[in-house]
Amino acid sequence: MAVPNQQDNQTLMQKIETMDRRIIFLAIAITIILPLIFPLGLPINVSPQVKDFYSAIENIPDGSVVLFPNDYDPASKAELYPMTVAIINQLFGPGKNGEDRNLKVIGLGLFPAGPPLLEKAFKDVAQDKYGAKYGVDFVNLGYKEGREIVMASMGESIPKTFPTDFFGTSIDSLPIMKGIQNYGDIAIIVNVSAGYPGTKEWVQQVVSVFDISMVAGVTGVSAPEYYPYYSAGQLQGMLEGLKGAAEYETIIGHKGIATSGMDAQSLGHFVIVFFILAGNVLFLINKRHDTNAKGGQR
Amino acid sequence: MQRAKLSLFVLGLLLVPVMGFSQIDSLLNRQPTESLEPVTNLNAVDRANDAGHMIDLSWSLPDNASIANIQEIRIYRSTSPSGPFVQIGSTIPTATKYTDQQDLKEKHNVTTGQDYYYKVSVYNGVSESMSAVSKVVTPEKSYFNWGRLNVFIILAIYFGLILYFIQASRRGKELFIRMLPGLEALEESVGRATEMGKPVLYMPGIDEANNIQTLYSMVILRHVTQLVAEYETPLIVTVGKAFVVPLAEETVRQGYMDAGRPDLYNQDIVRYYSDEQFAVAAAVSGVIVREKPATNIYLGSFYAESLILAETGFLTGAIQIAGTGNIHQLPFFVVACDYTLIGEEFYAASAYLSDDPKLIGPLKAADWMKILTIAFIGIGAILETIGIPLFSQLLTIK
Amino acid sequence: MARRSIPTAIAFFFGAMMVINYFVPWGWFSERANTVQEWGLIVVSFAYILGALNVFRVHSHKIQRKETDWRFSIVTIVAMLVMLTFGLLPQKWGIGGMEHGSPFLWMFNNMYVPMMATMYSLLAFFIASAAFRAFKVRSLEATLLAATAVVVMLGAVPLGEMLLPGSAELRTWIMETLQNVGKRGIMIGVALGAISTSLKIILGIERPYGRD
Repeated sequence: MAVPNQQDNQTLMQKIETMDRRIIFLAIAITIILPLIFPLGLPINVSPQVKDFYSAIENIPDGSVVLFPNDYDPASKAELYPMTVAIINQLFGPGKNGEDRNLKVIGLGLFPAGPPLLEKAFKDVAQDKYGAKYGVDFVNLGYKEGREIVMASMGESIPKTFPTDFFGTSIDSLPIMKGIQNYGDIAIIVNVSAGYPGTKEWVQQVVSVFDISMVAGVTGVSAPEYYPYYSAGQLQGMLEGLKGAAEYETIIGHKGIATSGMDAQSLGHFVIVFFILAGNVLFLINKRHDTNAKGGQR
Repeated sequence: MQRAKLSLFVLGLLLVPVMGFSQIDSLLNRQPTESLEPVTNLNAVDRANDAGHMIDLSWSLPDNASIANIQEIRIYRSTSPSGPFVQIGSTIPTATKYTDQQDLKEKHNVTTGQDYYYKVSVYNGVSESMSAVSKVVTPEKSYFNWGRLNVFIILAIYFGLILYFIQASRRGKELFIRMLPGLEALEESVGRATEMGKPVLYMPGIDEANNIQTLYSMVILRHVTQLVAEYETPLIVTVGKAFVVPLAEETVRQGYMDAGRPDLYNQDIVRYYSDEQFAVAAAVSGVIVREKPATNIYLGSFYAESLILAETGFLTGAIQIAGTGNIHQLPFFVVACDYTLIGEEFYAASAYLSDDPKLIGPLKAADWMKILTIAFIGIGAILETIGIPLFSQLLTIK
Repeated sequence: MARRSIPTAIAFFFGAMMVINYFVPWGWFSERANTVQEWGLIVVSFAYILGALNVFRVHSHKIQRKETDWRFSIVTIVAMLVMLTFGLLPQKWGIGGMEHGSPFLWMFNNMYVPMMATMYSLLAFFIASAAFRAFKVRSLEATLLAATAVVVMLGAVPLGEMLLPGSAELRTWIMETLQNVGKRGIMIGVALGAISTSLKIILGIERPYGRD
């Protein structure tokens, strides 16, 4: 016969195993909010794919044209907007010799709600911080419906695919677009993508067909899908989620939102691991209790 | 007065040589202008496997390109090596490639069978430096894209197998399909919803109608509609793309008609909320929490909203059956749903439910293609390891 | 007979044309394929009107019948009409357009963006509760799964790398090699299934359109 104290504890264990999910939600919320208020300043190691991402952009010749598709919407802003900001910092910041690289950046988006986010990043970083001029140093072509069709169409003619920019201005009147015909005039594609249409489609429709360099920043959950492309060399570098963005901020020397978010993400992961381990401990205890109870009943 | 004039005269005399010397000095010390060198290694080739209207040009930039202040690179074309050469386009100063392609709207022809010669010049706003004339290039039309021959052969084999197994099944040959628990549970879960007096929720994904998963989900929706019609269970179909609305409405209406219950159909069964992913997730989560369907069926193309939907459904105690071809969402469905159709099991649904020979045949063909693929992978891995890249060369699509 | 044959014939013609276009680079095919794709874009644009009408109809009925939480349907319809109005008004009227400072952009930045980000952030909470429930060591495979999940989660963050040295490299190997193996196998199966389904639809064996 079971000892009454053991029965109470095991019953408690069963109660904990099936507790209200809101307790878990509360634990996650507290764990994520606290480091944002009291930063831990954890060190960040830069992974090889992030180094490759940085190097690929750093090694393009000065004066080159960069295609910068930002294929995401506000839902993915928390993970991908820090990448956009950091990339603009590298593109418009000084080069290895401390001089202006004079890169020309053509931005666009294949998600309808993406271009306003890109416009904000261009304004806050490229324009206000580095003094870049719209229409001369960078342009936001806006959104175009069509997904893969848009990508293929740009292979024929970028001006015909995007006759006007995000603000409705004819791109023929923009100095930056002078002489830009198609991917032949682009040195590298720097894609920030939340899913579909995004990195995979750019690789399949553009990199494979037009033999152009490409790097990508993607969400953490979709990153595994793109490892084959990175391993195969179709992507020269990759940023993976908020951690990738934080590593990238470290390597370019501009600590931003991603770095401050890493403390919260670290503790959040820890809490989830704790729940996995705790859940298993409870499961094993309850399983043992059930086995003992069945044995007692024979 | 005369002294003043004399002083001015002397001053002028002194100033002239000084000014003159400064002019001479600037003349002597003036930096010579950098000579504008032309591009080299100009190469023009016909684009292979095309309709005969594209020519690819490539060249090397001059060594002093960065300091020669090149403003643009101009492309010239002629039908004769001696000209006249007409400018057909321009590109940016750092470009090393250009494609001359037909554009009927701009009345620019690249005619099949016509000889073309090209020159490329660098222009710095003042002067232009022309390259040597390229070798002759004659665009030719291809009747078949030989770079994709490998894809054609593989597809031909696959189609052949499909047709063979359809015929075999029609002739009465028994084709085994293993049990798929998710599909076995479909009728049982609809029955459960009927007993509880709760609706069945069906979501055909959030992708466009041109996505094969969405189209295929309509086929399964028709089956499910027939099932719910037999049991007179309420049905809710939530749609995440405007274009799918008429497709889903027609499918549901047809399903009720097939079951002989057109009276049960009403337009509010199919509910569209938004084209935005998380707006749909929020709306459908709201439906699940408010109307508490007993059975949730998620079959189609899903993205990040999959866990939100599945977990919400789990918390309401619904039986959940999910299936998608989007591999990165499968783990979330496996964790939160009772039954998950993984990968091609999703595409087996209609064959499994209908037992129609025409539908089972392609399943067997897919099985045989997988066997061939496994063989290819095994042999190819061994060959690659010993340094024979035969298979990777054969399977490269140009 | 015509009800069944005509849609099947149309599906076969356009489906076959798109397949042939992949292999035969004749201008005739590619031009028509491009035209069909453009038609598709135009039809999709008109479908938004159908979608908006569907929203309006469903929620109007809910309000009429005062079904559960019918007040939220009023919010839905009002929100739709307000955004639509401000989005369509011309900029020269002062309150229209999508420039900086316009009401539409203000609603986008201060209402739409936070709501979308909030919905996406729900995933963090749901993953935690799903992990607590699902990663139970019921079998050897489940134990391996739970252990892999722990290693991958720790290796993904700096704190984890500090506490479990080597977890970052192990995580990278798991993501780049181990999980890719299983993923590629499933991808091949999915691709084969998609090809056979497409062929069935083109040949009219499966018909997600039309009537019997």
